[in-house]
Amino acid sequence: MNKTDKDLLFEFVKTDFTLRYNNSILGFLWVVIKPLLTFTVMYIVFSILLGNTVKYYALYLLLGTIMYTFFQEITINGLNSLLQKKDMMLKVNFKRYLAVIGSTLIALINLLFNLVVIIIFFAFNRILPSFLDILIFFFGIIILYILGLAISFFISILHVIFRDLQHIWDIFMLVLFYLTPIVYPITLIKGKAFYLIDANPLTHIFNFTREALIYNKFESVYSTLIIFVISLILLYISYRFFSSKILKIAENF
Amino acid sequence: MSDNVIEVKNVSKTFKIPVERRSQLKDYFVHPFKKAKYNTFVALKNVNFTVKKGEFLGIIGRNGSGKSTLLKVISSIYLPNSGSISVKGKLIPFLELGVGFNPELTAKDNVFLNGAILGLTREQVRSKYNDIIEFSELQGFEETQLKNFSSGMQVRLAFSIAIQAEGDIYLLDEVLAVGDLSFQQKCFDMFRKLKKEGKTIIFVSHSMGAIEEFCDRVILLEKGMIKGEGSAFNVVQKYSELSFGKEEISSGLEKNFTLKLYNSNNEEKSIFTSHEEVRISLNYNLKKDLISPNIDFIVTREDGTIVSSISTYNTFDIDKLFSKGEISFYIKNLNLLPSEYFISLVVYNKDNTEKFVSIERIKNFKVFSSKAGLKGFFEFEGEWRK
Repeated sequence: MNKTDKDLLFEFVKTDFTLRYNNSILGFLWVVIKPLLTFTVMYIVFSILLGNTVKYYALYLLLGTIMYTFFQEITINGLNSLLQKKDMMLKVNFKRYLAVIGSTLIALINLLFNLVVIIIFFAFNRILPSFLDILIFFFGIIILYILGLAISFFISILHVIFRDLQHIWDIFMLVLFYLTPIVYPITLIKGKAFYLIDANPLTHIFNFTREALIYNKFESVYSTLIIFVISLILLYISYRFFSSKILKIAENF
Repeated sequence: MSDNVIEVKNVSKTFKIPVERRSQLKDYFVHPFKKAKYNTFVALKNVNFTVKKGEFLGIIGRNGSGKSTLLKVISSIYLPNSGSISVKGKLIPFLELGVGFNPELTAKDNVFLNGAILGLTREQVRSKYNDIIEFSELQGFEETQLKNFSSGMQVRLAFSIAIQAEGDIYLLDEVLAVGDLSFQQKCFDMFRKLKKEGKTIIFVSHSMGAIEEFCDRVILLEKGMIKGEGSAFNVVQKYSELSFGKEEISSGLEKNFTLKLYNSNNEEKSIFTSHEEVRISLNYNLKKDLISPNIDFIVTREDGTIVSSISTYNTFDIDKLFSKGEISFYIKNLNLLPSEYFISLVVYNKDNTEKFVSIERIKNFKVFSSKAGLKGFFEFEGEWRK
C-alpha cells in the first residue's frame, strides 16, 4: 500500500466517521447507546431467567454484547462496502480492497468508544485485569477483526450479485448471536446443542477473552490459537477470491 | 522501445444483459433449474490503436458506439473479454467531475476526499487547498455542507480540484464540457494547459468544434469498431457522412468543397470571441467548370434557426469556378452572442434554377464573449444616453 492508497483509505474512514458522528448530535452517543440498550434489555430478561448462576453477570453480558456488536458491524459494513461505493467504482479505478477495509475500520473506531463503557463497568465492579489479561482481550479483538474482514471480502462480492443477501445476513447474525454464549454461560448447555455452539468459532474467542479479562482464567487457549491461524488462512483465501472477482464486478452494478 | 504510452490490442468487450433480471438469491430458490437467458451486446470489437506520449487523441462516434466503454476499459474499470491494454504512466480518468462527492460533507472535507480519489496525497491537497478554494470562488463556504450548494457551485468546486490532479495520461469524457459557456471556456483553457505541458490526452466529445480545435488525431467508433482514424478534419468529415447519411441530392461535388474559418491573424479556428474579425474561406477543387455560380453561406443555430446568411447573389459576380481555388468572405465584426453556430453551404446557378451542391452544416464554430447574460443571436450596435 503506497502513500496515496493510505491517504485514500484515511479519507474513506474519515468520511464514514464524519457522517456518523458529526451530523447528528447524538451520533457519538448512539454508538455507545445501542450496545448498552441491548445489554440492558438482555440483562433484565436473562438475570431473571438465569438467576445467579454467573458471577459478574453484568460484565459477562456487556463484554459479550460489545464484542458481538463489533463483529456484526464489521461484517455488515463489509457486506455493503462495494455497493455503497458503486458510483465511485464506475468512474475511478482506485484499489477496490480499500473500500472494504475502510468500511470495516469504522467498526474498530466504534469499539474504542465502547471500551470506555467497559472500563467504567470494570471500575464499578472493582476488577482490575492484569496486563496479560488486557493483551489477551486485544488479541481476541484482532482475531475477530481478521475473521470479520475475511468474511467481508467474500460477502461484499456476493452482495453485488445477490442483492437480498442483506436480509439473509441480518437473520444469520441474529441466529449467530444466540449460538454464541453471550447471554448464557456455555456450562449451561447440554446435549446436541453443545456441539453446535462449540462448533462456532466465536464461542472460543469470546470464552478466551472474557474468562481472562473478568475471571483471570485461561480457557480455550489452544482452540483460539487454531481459530487465529484458520482466520489468517481464510483471509488469504477470501482476498484471493475478492481479487479474482473484483475485476468483473463493475458490470453487475 | 516505442514511445507509445497506451497500447490497445484487439480489445473486445461484450456485455451480457439478462432478459430477466436475476439479482436475488430468492430467484434461485424459486426457479432453481431455470437457466438464465442473456442478450449479448457487443460494445467493442477488435479495437486496435496506440497513443504516443504527448498526443491529444479524440474519439468520436454516435451514442452507444462504445466510446465510454472504451474509456472505462482503458482505465481498467471494465475488464475486456479479449485483447490487451498496456498503459505507461499515471492515468487519471475524468469520466465525471466530483467523483465521490458526498452532500452531507462540508466543501473542505469533499476537497480532501475527491483529491484522494484523484490520487493526490493529503499533503498535496493541503498545499493546493487555497488555490482550489480561490479558483472555485467559494471562499467563506468552506465549512458549508455540499447539499446546500447550487449545482453550479458544486461543478465549480469539482472542476477546481480536477485541474490540480497530477497524472501523465488524462481520459476526458464529454461530460466535462457541459455547463455554461464560461465554464466550457475554463475547460478549454485547461485542455490547452495540459496540452502545453505535454500530457497525453484521450478526449471523447460530441463537439466537433472542440475535437478539431484540440486533437492531433481522431478515432471514429461505430458499433464498437474503429471506422476511421486520422487527422481531425478527415475523420470528422467521415463522421458527419455516417451520421447524416449521404445527401439526398448528391451531385458528387460535396467532397470538392471545404470550408474553413480564420481569425485576423490568419490562423484557422473554430472558436471565436464576439466582435472578432473572421474570414470564411471556401476551398474548392473541381474537375468540371461551374459557370456563373452563386454561393450562399447560411448560419444556423443548433436547433436549425437561421441566424443570418451571406450570399453572392446580385452582390458579387463569379464568372466560373474551376480547378483549385479559394473564395472568401470577410466579416469585419462577428456580432454574434455566445453559442454554437453552424454554417451550411449552397452553390447554385445564376438564376437559381439549378443547385450544384448543398451541404448541411459543413462547418461549426463557437463564439465566446466576456459579457455574459445577453440573450438572443446578436448584439445591437449602439450606445446608451440619458
